[in-house]
Amino acid sequence: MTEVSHERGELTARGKSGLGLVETHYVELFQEGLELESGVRFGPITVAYETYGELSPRRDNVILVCHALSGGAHAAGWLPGQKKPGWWDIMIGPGKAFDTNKYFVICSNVLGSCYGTTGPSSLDPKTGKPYGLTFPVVTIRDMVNVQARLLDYLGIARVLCVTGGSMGGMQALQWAVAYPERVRSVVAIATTWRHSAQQIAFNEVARQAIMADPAWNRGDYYGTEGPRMGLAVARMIGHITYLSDVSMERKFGRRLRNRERYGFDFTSIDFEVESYLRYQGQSFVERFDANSLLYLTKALDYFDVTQGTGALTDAFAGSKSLFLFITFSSDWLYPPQQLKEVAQAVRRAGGDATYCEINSDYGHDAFLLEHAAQAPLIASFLQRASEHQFEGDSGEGI
Amino acid sequence: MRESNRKFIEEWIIEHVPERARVLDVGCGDGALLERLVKEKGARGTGIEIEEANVRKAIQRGLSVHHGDAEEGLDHYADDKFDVVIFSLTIQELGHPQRLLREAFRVGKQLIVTFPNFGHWQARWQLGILGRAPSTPCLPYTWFETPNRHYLTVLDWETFARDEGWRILDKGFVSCGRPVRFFPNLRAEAAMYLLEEIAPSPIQNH
Repeated sequence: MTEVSHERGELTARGKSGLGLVETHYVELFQEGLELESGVRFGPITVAYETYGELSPRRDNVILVCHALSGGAHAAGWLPGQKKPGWWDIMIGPGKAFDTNKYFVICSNVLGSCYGTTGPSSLDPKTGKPYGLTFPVVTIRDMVNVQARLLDYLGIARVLCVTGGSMGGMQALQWAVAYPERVRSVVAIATTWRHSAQQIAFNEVARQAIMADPAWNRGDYYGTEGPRMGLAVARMIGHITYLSDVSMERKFGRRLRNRERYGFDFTSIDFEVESYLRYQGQSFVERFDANSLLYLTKALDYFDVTQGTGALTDAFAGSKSLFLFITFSSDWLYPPQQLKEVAQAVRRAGGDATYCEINSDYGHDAFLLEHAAQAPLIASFLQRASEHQFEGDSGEGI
Repeated sequence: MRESNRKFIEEWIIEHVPERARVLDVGCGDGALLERLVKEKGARGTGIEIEEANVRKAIQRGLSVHHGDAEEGLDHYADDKFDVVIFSLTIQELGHPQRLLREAFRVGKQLIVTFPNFGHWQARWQLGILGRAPSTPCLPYTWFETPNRHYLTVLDWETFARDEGWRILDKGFVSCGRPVRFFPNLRAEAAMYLLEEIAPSPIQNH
């Protein structure tokens, strides 16, 4: 069982990662601008990315890892001076599920985020000031288009696998439908093909928490403290949806924090779970940009792999990729049924889909915690994808 | 089911699946049979399995599997997607085998069905003479823990297949790991059938 620190999503792996020190690279793309899904043309776009392992001479061993809402390009290994390895270090490295002895792994920060790729906190070259709300609304499709250009830049025509959980899983699905000829396989974990009303609702509460904070100042808060309380509350809401009733009961129950009796007030902390949420909220404020959270949650809500048609089978009709879908029984943020529907649609479209629901109490967080259950499935699936004969394999890529 | 019968059934199935066939194994367990079909017959196989532990093993064998309840239906498979659909020692545990078998003919051209024969003399002896619910090497469960929901015999199956409009292309019977040639309804512990549809089923254009 992995030990999990108080910080969500960052695993305290036993022993150091096999990858050792890694480096984040930056490249400026779209000098001419990228036409966004909204119709706005936007550029240039700086992209932060990391790579692990070695690109094969045939350039056929590439795995594109897509991160979730609060993740970044730093997926594995150690950056100088940091106390924790990358967010998916437990899965990426020599001998791990995404084995860097075999595969060349790429992870880039998404458009709109705040970890190196252009987002609302980046400086607008026209004004020399942060974009704030002048940053255009971006979508999962836009993020994927940026990643596709990054692969062009790296000289990679086709990837062996696109993978990710949660928001990363949406990108993986989007890749499969937008660039079917560039994707040999997809591993999508704990995600959905479009947000339901409940999922949109949670995001809306998070956004309202930020926007209701006077310090948000319509997104123009750079150089000030910013909407610390609003962002913290937004994170608390998010965090509740990442856990499960069972896991919270086990972790906290009704245990009191440093006291024997209720405080009968509102200023002190009574319950352990309150302390935990406040800690999560506060530490998130230190590492994430409030505007980025607005933009990324909007991207999640707008995402619909069918582009609004609801015709899931048609969406995957052109896909020749092999698919592996993994869900978790207690995940109530992205209930298993949603990804099961995708698996069934892929099959209905004539494709090859493997679906597995892992029994877990960890809720949505299981995606980052249940690595022992996922790793062998992913490793075997990647092996199969490597050996699978795809149409057009004789000729090289695009 | 005796191990020797299991082996016999597996060999029989492998023998009856054409080279390079597209195969769906309904209730594929840990994927052992599918893996052999892929390796030995060059089959392109996929399976449905309800137990997570089995699904995980099957995926680790490099197979394509759907984790779910086959009874939810096969509508996620396209028409005529498979050359052969296999139900090996599965139908007696299904809630509505008739519905699922009919649907199997929509997604596949041929069916391979194997089942424990309730007409075996030991079962008859225990029920008919001793007046006890049968518990035999082939049906090794007590009445309160058996996963079997339907008890059928060789005769029942053949009547059923005829009524459904299915042609029996080949059949085999086994007892103690050895083939049974005479009086199979009395002597076979398990039966194996290869079937095809004579006329399109009513749900063909489902």
